Amino acid sequence: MKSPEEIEAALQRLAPPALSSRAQSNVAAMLADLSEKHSAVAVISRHRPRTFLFVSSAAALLFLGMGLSLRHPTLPVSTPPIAATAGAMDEMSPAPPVFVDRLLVTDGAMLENTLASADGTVVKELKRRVHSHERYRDARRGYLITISETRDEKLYLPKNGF
Amino acid sequence: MATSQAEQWQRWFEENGPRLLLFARGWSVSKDCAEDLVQETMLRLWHYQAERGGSPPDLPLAFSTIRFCGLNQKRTDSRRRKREEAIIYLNDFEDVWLDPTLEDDEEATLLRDAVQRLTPKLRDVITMKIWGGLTFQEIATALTIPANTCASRYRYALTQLAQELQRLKEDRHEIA
Repeated sequence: MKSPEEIEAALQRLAPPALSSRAQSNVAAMLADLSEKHSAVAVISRHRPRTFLFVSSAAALLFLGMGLSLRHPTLPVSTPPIAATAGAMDEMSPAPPVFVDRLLVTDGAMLENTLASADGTVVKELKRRVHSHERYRDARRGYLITISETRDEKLYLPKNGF
Repeated sequence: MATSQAEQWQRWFEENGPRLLLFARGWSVSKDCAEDLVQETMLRLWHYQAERGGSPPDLPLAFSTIRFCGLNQKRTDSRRRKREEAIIYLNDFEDVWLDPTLEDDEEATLLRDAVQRLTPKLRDVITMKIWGGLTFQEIATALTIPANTCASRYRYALTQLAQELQRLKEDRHEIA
């Protein structure tokens, strides 16, 4: 009987079968197709920021132009197209939401640490959690906007007694 | 860039395609099915690698993906077989596992037949080690088994092949 090493050597002489030409061409076509799709996606995503930049720049220039035209009352009144456009833009420009109220909810403060500075002053480090709710009303759209925020605060209070 | 990426993958496939096919053959009923499995694997690998830079994959990952696709296909096949009770798989006598054109002696032919008769667990390790050129650690990762198990399966497969070869030789000489 042959040794495992001899069998190993004999196996290495055998070659794996080649793929049929049908399979080879199928895979080649699939790879080419996938590659094209991949590059098309890459091109679109590369051009999107430029398009966005162009559109936003154009919009900014338009708004700037409208703003200037409104600030200069010396412009002849007999320019209805500009006045009409300015009026239309004024209607479109969003009015800032109006602040309604603010609610602050503070959890109980917890003593975290006691710190001593070089001059001998002792300070208490307190930690507390604050939840704030601010409400704004968008009069033009009729929305009530609530902004909620939770934050951790640290308070440093001088320690007066023991 | 797209062309170069496609070329890169094509070169990788030309180099490793036969290895993948041999491994896929263990998970398929015929060579055609194995080729389909290789193509499905290539598609999955492409999408997987697209999120990781788009370069061709490592060979252990490719073997692992074939195994995954093969398992999926087997599940689908068994479900289909339950639905279609009368199904006949024809034996294709030209459908060989290893390329016979390079075999110049009787022993190579016998060995090829013996490899074909190995159990799938042993055959996977032999395929990945001999024709995939993977280390036991890489095979272990691909098959999700310990490296020591891979090494013992490999040694056991070689011993079994040696015994099988001996038996086949004796049978042939008796017939002659």
